[in-house]
Amino acid sequence: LYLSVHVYGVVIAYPSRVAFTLLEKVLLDGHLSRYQNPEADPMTKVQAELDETKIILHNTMESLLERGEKLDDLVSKSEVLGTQSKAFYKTARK
Amino acid sequence: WETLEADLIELSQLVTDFSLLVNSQQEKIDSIADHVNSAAVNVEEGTKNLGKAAK
Amino acid sequence: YLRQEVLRRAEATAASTSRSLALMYESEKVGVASSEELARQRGVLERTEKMVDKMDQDLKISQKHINSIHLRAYHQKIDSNLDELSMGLGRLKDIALGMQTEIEEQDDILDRLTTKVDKLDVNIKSTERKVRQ
Repeated sequence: LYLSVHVYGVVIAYPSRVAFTLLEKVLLDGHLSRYQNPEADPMTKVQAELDETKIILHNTMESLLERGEKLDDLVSKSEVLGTQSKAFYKTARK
Repeated sequence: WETLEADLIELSQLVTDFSLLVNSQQEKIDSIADHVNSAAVNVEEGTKNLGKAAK
Repeated sequence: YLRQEVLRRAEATAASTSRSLALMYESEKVGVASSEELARQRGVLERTEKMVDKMDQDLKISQKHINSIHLRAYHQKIDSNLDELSMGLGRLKDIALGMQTEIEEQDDILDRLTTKVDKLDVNIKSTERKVRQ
């Protein structure tokens, strides 16, 4: 933001929705600096948080998929282990 | 507002997918545990047998 | 008409945020369930690892044997919903991050397990061959 009493008050800037919210509210220096980081607007905050959470979840999802592959690997390996151990047991008994 | 709601719907979709994945991996883990368990029993028995053989 | 329009929209918005809030809580619930599931799976994995270690020991012994051998209300509603939403999303984010680290740690366990299982496999094979001979 570069606010005087987007026009409604004039803001020279940034999401226009937030700019108009600011104008409505105002109709000064503190407001200008507070709204530099649209902290000021709960809607923007929520939206940003949502996006962030989504990104994190996507990452987690990816690592979960990797984990799935590793597990598949282990499943087959443990199967082999099972048959091996059976063979071992049999020969030992013999 | 619509997009916010839509985003949240998408998010909850993601979370449910996630939980489904976790649940599906549960089966894999269980089967691994089973295999390893039976293998362990076999090895133990085999070892005992070998001990007898040595005697 | 305009006045009613404004009211109607405020109402719609309030309803929308309420729905969003419900969605958020729903997601959170599912997220918590998944993380608990993950924690349980970790337990199983650790037990499996111990079994593998035990097999290793057994094989060593075998080896030895072998050897031996109205409008205001709506607006307030919207505001409070938004606040709650943002807090809830913060918690959801924490859960997601927690699961992320948990999965990473479990990855380490899995890697360790895999190498151990590989070694064990070779070990069993060679021991079995020795017994047969």
